[in-house]
Amino acid sequence: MDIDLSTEICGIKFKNPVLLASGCAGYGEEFDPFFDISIVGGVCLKGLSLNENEGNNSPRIWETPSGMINAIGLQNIGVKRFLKEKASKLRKIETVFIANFYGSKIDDYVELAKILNDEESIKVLEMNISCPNVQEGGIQFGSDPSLVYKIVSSCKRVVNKPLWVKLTPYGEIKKTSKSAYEAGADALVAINTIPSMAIDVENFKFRVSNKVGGLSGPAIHPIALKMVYDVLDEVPIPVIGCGGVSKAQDGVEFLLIGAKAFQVGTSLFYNPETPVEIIEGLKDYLQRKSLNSVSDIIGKMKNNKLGG
Amino acid sequence: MKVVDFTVERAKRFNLYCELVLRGDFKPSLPGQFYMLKGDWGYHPLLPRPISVMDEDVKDGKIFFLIKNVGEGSRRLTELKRGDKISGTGPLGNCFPIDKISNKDFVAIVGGGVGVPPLYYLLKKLNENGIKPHFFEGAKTKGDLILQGKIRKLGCDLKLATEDGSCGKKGFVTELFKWINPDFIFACGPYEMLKAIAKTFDKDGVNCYVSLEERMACGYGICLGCSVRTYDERSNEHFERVCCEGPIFDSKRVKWI
Ligand SMILES: Cc1cc2nc3c(=O)[nH]c(=O)nc-3n(C[C@H](O)[C@H](O)[C@H](O)COP(=O)(O)OP(=O)(O)OC[C@H]3O[C@@H](n4cnc5c(N)ncnc54)[C@H](O)[C@@H]3O)c2cc1C
Ligand SMILES: Cc1cc2nc3c(=O)[nH]c(=O)nc-3n(C[C@H](O)[C@H](O)[C@H](O)COP(=O)(O)O)c2cc1C
Ligand code: FES
Repeated sequence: MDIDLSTEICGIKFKNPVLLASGCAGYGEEFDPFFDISIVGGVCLKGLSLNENEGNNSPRIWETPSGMINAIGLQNIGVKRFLKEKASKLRKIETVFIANFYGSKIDDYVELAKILNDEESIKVLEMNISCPNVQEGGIQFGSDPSLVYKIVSSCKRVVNKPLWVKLTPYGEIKKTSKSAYEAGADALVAINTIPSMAIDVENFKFRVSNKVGGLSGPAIHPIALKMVYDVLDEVPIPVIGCGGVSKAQDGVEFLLIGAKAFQVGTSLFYNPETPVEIIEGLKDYLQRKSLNSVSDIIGKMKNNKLGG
Repeated sequence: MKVVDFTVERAKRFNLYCELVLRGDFKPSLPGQFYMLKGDWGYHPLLPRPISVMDEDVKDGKIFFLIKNVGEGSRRLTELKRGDKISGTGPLGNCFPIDKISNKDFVAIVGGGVGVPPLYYLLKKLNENGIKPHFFEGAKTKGDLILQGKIRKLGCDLKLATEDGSCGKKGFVTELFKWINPDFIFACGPYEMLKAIAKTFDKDGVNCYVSLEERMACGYGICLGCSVRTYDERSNEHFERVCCEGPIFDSKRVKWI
């Protein structure tokens, strides 16, 4: 029996629902020693800003039970160098490249959206709105519903490629997802890392130099799943699950709840071959359930009532 | 580099250390390179740990590591038993620039603690090229000195220093070689030791290379978690990844903190 793993989001076909999460997959080249990147459904590139960004001082990472805190500080080469040095290579690879981008004010987002919308190798734009807005005193764009509306609608006006909005778990996700939808987002991604902190009590120091970081990894998976459930309850557009996927079963959970696809992040760090294993695991799962396509499981549990 | 499924062939424990001999289908490594090692213990600890190659026998399919138990991750690695499975991604990182050296050069190797194992591998490779370096090892106390027997067995001149004077010269390892004028220095060990060496030999004509440590999540360049500040040729400051552009850096290029 031939198994169809493909999934469609906003008119774009992905060969399977396994996408690599932004910041955990570089610019797509780093996996060459481990597997052929064209096997995955899509790759969300490292978050781009208008200008090159150095990132935070070390230490930038700290391990926690079944997870990790990172405070990389969105280090990236900037959109100009990306276009010059990386973009042309991506055109030859047969998977969907999703450009993740962020800024510190609304104008930055709009400018980036325009530039990336014009790049041939990019098929989808993914806005990361979990960063501080300098004009509004550093509060996160993504946690204030009215700011979310403003920023998403501003970008939507200048693009014709699908615009995904990546939500932060910080704040009230039902409200922010509704704002993003009303502002014209084509799909939502939930979730980004969870704001977190750890302290070295022997030396009275924060574990990451930035004091605050973002928690990711298996520890956050159940939280992410519940958030995707909530977002789907609120909006009629496609949702992509993200958070703590390290094996096929975790991804299947996102799909059953109604996500059209899922992203794999932190697990790439401790096992660079995770995507290969997840794709195989998905096929095995469908076979075991005597199903022949991923669409048979997407949303299968959506209408189940809460509770045991 | 690739992900290798290793099997523990032998695990020899002494004090806080464990010498692991692993069997697997791995690629040859250069001195100074490392592996990200993780046993099959699931999600805690989640991340693999960077461990340097101490020796390898490619023909026989055996690779050697020496690990010190300093926390949860390294403890798990030191508790592995014969027959256990462990995955290793590697070899990773750059290597000590041994091609630059001729047998007329005065070469000093300086190590402390878990910095000594990769230097043993470096020593072996230098010997294969007909180069006889001088080895300097430092530790807090006698019991913390490692690999002396193995180093001396290669016919190498080894000088020791301990902070409490229980073995060799009393004081920091830098006390042993302040007076020398080497062409090359290769150092690996605690940050403060590397910094002191870099300061002492911050002069023209001395090529000083240090192997830096930083917390790592991936080890293969993708998470940007291991970045340190360095200077480029024009003295501009920027970040480089210890796992890719390092772990070995020209000490003059490092921004010491
Ligand atoms: C390139 C490289 C090669 C290495 N080679 C070896 C080796 O051959 N043998 C060996 O025993 N160890 C080696 N290490 C160090 C080893 O990786 C760490 O000791 C280990 O990751 C600690 O993990 P843990 O969970 O046991 O300790 P944790 O609980 O994470 O930490 C325990 C203590 O060690 C410190 N520490 C943890 N990780 C590091 C680090 N990467 N650098 C500096 N301090 C750290 C912490 O601050 C803390 O004080 C190497 C490190 C690097 C970066
Ligand atoms: C080191 C690191 C860097 C990240 N960088 C970005 C980024 O640039 N843009 C972004 O939208 N998300 C970024 N993320 C968040 C991930 O894409 C993902 O949303 C999050 O890690 C949760 O998924 P996971 O548990 O599978 O890692 C980063 C995460 C990590 C761990
Ligand atoms: S450890 Fe991930 S980039 Fe170096």
